[in-house]
Amino acid sequence: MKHASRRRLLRGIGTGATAGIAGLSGCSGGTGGDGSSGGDGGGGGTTVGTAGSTGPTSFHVGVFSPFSGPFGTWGPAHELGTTIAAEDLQSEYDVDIEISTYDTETNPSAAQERMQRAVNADGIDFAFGGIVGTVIQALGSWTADNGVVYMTEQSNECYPLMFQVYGSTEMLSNAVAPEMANHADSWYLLYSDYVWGQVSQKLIESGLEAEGASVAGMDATPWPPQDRDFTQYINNAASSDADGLGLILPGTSASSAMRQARNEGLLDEFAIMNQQAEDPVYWGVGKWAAEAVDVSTTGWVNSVGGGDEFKQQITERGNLDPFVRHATSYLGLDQLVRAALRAGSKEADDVREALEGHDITDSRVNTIFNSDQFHWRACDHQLLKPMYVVSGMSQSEMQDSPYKQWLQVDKTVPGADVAMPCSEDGCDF
Amino acid sequence: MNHSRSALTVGDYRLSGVWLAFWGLLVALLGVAFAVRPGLFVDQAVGGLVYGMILVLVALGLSIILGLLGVVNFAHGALFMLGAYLTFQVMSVWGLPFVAALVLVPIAVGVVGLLMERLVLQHVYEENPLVGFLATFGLALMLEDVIRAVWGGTPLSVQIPTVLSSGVDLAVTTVARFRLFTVLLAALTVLAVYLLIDRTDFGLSIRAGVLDREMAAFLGVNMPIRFVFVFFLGTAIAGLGGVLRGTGVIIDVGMGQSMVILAFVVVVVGGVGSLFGSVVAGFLIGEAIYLTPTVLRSLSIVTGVGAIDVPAIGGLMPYLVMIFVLLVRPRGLFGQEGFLE
Repeated sequence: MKHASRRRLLRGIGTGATAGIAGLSGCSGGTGGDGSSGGDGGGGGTTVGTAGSTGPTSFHVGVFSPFSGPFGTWGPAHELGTTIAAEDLQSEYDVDIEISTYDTETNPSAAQERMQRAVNADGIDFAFGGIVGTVIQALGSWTADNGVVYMTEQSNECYPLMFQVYGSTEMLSNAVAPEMANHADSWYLLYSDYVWGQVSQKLIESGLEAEGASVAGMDATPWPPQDRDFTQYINNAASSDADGLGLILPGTSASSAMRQARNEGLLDEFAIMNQQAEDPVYWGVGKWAAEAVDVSTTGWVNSVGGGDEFKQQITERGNLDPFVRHATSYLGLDQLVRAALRAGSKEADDVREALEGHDITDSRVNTIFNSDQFHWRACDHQLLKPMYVVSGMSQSEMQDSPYKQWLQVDKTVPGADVAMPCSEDGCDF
Repeated sequence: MNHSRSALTVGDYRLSGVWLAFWGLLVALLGVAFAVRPGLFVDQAVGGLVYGMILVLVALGLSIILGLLGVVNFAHGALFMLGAYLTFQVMSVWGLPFVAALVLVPIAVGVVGLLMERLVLQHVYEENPLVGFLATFGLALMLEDVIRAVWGGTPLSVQIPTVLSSGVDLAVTTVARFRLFTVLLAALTVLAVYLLIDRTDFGLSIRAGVLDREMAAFLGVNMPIRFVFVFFLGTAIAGLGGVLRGTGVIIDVGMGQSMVILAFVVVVVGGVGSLFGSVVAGFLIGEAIYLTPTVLRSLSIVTGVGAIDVPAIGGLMPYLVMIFVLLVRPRGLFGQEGFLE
């Protein structure tokens, strides 16, 4: 179903005028290639037409991320990842890509207001970004209603024009549970009391039980945390029979919990799982924190083989060493622009159709992630991509130069093996 | 006057039958929790004590400033956070010992507070209280951004001193030595502030200023100097809280906002301007946060009713306590005009 919008009407008038002029000038047009857009399981290459024909030649992408507040570290990472992607695409296809950044803070209303301004006043073609769930939800809802393709990291909601690059909560949880069972027979779970934590807890619990392990107890911790004090929950875990402590907590909270466990002398008594590990959290806390992680899953880590040039670019140009958000933001912008080029259009529905069912096989993304297993699932717009099971290196093995590399990849799990079936994900486009 | 047969007189206080039943139930519930899991109960009680003392430290400074200056210092949480980050700077960057942080950081935060008072707040004392609130709110945001600009947005941590990193055996459980140190130092700080305010002429002049600023000034008390001192003292205490908290947990840019809200709750529960009230309220809220989940979980084990074990109830407790106290006693536990009860 086409999405009617003011933007679409104006574009239609402009496109019609351009097509008329092109026809008169005798341009050959055409997208070339195998036209692999659309349809589930379409697969195939990413050949696109040469820019400069009837396809788009310039793009304006809005990057919506927190540049202030407790998640302010993530915004610059998104900006740098998308910038490098834009530079690569510009040299490959001779297109112009402008990136505008917008601070979403952690405020859904502010984020939505900025998206509105970006689309209506600044004229962005697509949007990328979002870290906090409520912000992503607000942006996904608005962009769906206003005909803008929005590519985000991760969300438990689905919208017709929103695509997700990181790997879903289900993929992360289903990948980590079997590995947890290998480390300990009984686990105590601490989970943040909001959707991400709740969904992860349920999936990990059932995953553990499927592997013959058990959950000795669990605590829901307040979200947002009123203080990074998890001592009472650590005490509960210590008084249980668990051999493992599962921290289904966002990064800073997890490292705070680990620190408090360490203060109590409990870190050595538990196998530690930290759901969805992010390197910067450990970098600020100390090597002991990374070393303590026995098992975790993530969408990318800088010890994934390959992509050395990309990692070097991040190291030289960024204020943080390469971590997952650099890679996923690169992937996001790369895919948005390539989809538009395949479609020969920047219209939301055309880009959507170009993404659905598409396999990523000849982009720098494959090098960065060291994998060809990328598929845009049409039913929920989730990118099925590798999930990496990681653990902390021993401190003597940790690398600090040219960039910090403290986590190692123990296993790579194909996204298709751990994603929720389409029939169960609740998405209905 | 009605003399109820079900009332009990304890000192100057009369406890009605309802209150007796309430306290009796509370003691019984705590007894059940201890009986079911004594080690865990002691762990949580100590944890609540430690957390409560941190709240007391932060709320004490807030209460002192609010009581004397009538300023709702929304920047108090940011100053507490600054204390934590300065602790990182002193210990992890400059390599100085923990003792140095204990001395230098509160002084530094006090100086920052003093600058805030001299440059901004002294101009808004006579204005609508909302102006002071907005001014301190703006200062809090500025301070947060300065902190992020200097130390970055990623979480940080400092090493606990070796001498405080082991545990103390309390028979039924082992408690981290650093946590006991936190309780002790916070208690000494509260005692020192009490002695200063209650047993010195300087403290007497401050109390006089709280009761009647104009009259105190007429009598020759230099109130501006006292304002500056009180602000320095209040913010230095917040800085000390930041040292202790920053050493115990992760340091991050969100810690100030969450702590200032809890500090306000403590001040409201204890009674605005009441030093003793802030201490009692801090203890009460700290223990409520830690012990309520333990009590409910023990009850659910004993009764077999799983629904009693309400998840994440601890986070709600400060606000539930505040609502309860304000319903019963709107001015707070010890709220009345004056500095000490």
